[in-house]
Amino acid sequence: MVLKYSHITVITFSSPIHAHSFSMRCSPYQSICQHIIEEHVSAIPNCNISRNTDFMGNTVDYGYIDDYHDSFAFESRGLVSVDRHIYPGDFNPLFLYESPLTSPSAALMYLAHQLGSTTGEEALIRKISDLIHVHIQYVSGSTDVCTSAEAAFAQGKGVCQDFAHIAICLCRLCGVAARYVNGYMLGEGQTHAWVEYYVADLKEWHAFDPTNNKAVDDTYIKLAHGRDYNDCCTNHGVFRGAGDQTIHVSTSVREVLRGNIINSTI
Amino acid sequence: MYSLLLKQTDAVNRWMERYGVRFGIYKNGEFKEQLFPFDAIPRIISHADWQKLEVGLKQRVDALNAFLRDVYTEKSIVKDGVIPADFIYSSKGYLPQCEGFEPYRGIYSHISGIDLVQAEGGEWYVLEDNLRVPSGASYPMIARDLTRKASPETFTDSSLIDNRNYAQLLRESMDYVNVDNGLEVILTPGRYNSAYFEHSYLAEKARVVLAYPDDLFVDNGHVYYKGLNNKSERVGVIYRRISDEYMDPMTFEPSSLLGVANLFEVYRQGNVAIVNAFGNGVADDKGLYYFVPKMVEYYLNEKPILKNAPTYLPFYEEDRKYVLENLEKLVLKDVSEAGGYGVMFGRDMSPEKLKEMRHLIETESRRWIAQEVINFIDLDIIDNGEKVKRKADLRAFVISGEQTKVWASGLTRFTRDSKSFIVNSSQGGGFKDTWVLDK
Repeated sequence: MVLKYSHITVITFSSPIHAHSFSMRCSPYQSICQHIIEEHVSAIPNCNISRNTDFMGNTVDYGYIDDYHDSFAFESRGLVSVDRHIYPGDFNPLFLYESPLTSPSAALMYLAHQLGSTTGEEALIRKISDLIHVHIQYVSGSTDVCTSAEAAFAQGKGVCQDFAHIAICLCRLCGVAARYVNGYMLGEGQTHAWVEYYVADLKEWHAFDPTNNKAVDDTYIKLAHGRDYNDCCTNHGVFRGAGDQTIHVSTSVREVLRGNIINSTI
Repeated sequence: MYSLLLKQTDAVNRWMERYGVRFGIYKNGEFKEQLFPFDAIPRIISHADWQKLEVGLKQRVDALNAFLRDVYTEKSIVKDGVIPADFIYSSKGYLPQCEGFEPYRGIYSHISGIDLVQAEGGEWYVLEDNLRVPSGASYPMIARDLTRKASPETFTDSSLIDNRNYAQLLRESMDYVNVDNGLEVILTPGRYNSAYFEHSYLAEKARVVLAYPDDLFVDNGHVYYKGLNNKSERVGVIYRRISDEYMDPMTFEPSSLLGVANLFEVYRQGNVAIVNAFGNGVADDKGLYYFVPKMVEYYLNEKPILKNAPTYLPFYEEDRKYVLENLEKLVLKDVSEAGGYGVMFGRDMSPEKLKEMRHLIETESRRWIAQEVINFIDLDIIDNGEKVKRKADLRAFVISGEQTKVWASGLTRFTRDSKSFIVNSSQGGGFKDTWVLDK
């Protein structure tokens, strides 16, 4: 499917700030599964935007604004042709070890123990996802970006990030390497999170969305993957100044019919 | 050969006080600066001993650098079964963010501080490798300067190697990795750091800029130094005296105020060199120490010249059995602690403590290493006008650049307390000059 996306982050400051560094992971992940037809990033106030690839292969756009300003906007937009989210790759033991947001609690270990006999990675992830839906209720705003799998599980509610962290934790406890994915999804007005798990026989990473309890298809755009949310954070910033900040993020993803691509304005 | 110098001990210590040769320590949340007491009796290393040490130290550091290159790229030493994967991935010093990137000119540890002791039989043993930000070179540097001033005759009579070239060695290494001939800086967290004296002294001696975190910023894929009148200069190499986790709030500890935002991106793009590189902690982890002689064989295909203290890893069943049976005579170290903390002697433990430690060794075997207690040579010091024996170690400095070089000197630290075996300066104690004889 060909998807047109736009992701706008606007931060307003109650009093002017300066010496502002930012680092964004909101451009699509470069891979054979996602062909980037067009893409564009821009910032206001105007500044140099540098691009790098981090240790996970994610695209990082970063920059610096020295002068005083009371608002900051960053836009990422483009056109991506998405195939199935199946990523070939070697096994990486890093994704078997716990990370700060996915370390297991006794309750999660007990749950993993019940899954012990499941064979096949796909069957496992489906069982995990079903189990999560038994224990966790989706309640928007019930957790924040610092909430661990353990904490979300204990309170019995969470958002897509928590569903993903718990699924990753359980996969790893069952000996299946798993990683966190941040991205966009058709019809979603904000970023979404899902998981990729390693299918050892095929030497491939397959994607599953535990929040919606279904396999990830070509209506998803992958931005970044990592051990947990911390490796994929959409927006990081450091600046000097006092005062409060208000952040507003809007995402839009629409399907573009192939015949219209040439004429599309993005 | 140093009797004239001894008469000048007080003069030298007064000079040191005047020059601010201090060591800061944090105790119970409070910062205190204390003088680092200097003992004028030098440690003297014979020429023959030094020749062997020099070759052994170069070999060890070359192997450690080869290990770091391998561990963040191919990991062949893990694939070949020499080091278990668990020792890498669960090491606190392992930084996954460094995966798949090799620093400019392939050097990770530009300045290595290798801690050694000499056993009663004369044999030297390595106790610890320090590859992150080893400090201490400035103390013997200034001590030699001041002792030469206080007692010039001592140095015309003695045939020892002049050690006043450390700053030059440091500078050569920085020049070698400097990206596109940029500005060279030493990055200090500021005057409340325990080694601030050293940072400022080294910057002065090596003739590089002493920079504070606020002086540096990242723009357009490069690091800049904010000079006077807003004139910015591109930085090519940063000898940082700040630990990895505080260096860039965007990649590591987000609350750090000591770092430079987005520095890590510039580093990974190869646009600035960091001395020492990021991620070195995986190689000087106390758990990895056990494997260093194996690294020498694996990477260099040579027999290790320097010995480790006999070490046991409870991770291995056979070693665990030995440690549990012999805990009373061993020294136990917590691999996640540094600076002389987390070191426990079995002979000092109460029966309850022994029981507790045995339990921890069984349940958290990866967390501990155990070593035989080495009877190392005590050195003479002057304490209240009397000559007494104290435990001492030697931190040798190895500098890697175009070639690997060993500084013909080092920091000899001793315990002031006659009962203590721990000579880390964070725990109190003093230092000596280290003389290497040139024939």
